[in-house]
Amino acid sequence: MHVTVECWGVARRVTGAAAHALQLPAGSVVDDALTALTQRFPELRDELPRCAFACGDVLLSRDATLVEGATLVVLPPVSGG
Amino acid sequence: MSALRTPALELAELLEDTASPDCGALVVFGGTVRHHNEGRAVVALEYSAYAPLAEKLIAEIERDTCRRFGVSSCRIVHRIGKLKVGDAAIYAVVRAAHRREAFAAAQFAVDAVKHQVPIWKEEFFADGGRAFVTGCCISAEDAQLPHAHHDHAPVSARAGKHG
Repeated sequence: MHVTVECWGVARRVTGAAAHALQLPAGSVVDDALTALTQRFPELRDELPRCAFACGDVLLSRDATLVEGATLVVLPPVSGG
Repeated sequence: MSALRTPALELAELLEDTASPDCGALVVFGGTVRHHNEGRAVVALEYSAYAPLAEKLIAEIERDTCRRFGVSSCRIVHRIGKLKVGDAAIYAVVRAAHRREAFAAAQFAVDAVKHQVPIWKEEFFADGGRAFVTGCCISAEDAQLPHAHHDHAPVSARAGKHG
C-alpha cells in the first residue's frame, strides 16, 4: 500500500524534504513506515525516539495500523512560544 | 478564528474580543524574539506549525484553562513564518474576575502551548548558522489518555526537560 510520510522541524531538515512516499505491505503499522524511512535516511534514526506521530489531528502510537493512502506525520519535540 | 497567524499579531483584536464587564483582571503574556540564545547572537527566527493538530490543541488549552481556573476567557495566538528580533511570537490573553486566577491561568496556558503544541522554532544566527531549538517531546501516551490534558502533572513533569 502507498503511504506518505510528512516531516516537520528537524525531521524535515534531516530527510531533506517535507514529504516522502513509501510503498508498504498491507496492514503495516507506524513502526514499519519508520523502519522503511530510516533505511532511506539513516540519520533520522537518532531523532525518532523523541518524535510523536499523527494522522490528521490525532496522535498515533507506534503500533497503530496504517491504511492505504494515509499520511503519517512526524512531529519532533516542540518549541513554540 | 485561527490561532496560527502569518501576519504580525494584533493585541488590540484580542482585547476587544475578550472584553467583559464582569472581569476586573486582564493578564496579557507576550513572547517576543530575543537577540540571543545560549550564548549565540540570533538575528531571526522562523516558526512552523503542523496546523491541523496545533489549532485543535490550542483550542483545547483555551477551554481547559477557563475550566481549570474558572476564568472568563483565554485566547492564544501564535505567529508562524519568519520573525525578526523584537517581533511578538505569541500572545496569551486571560480575563477573570480577580487577578490571582488570571495570573495562574495565563502561566498555565503559555506553558501548555510550549509543551504540547506542534510548533517549531528555528533560529538564524549572526554567524550564518541555523538550528531548530531543542524542544519538548509530545507524549503520545499522555495524549491518548482520555482528558490527559486536564491533568497538570504531565505538563509540570515535562517542564523540567527545559533544563
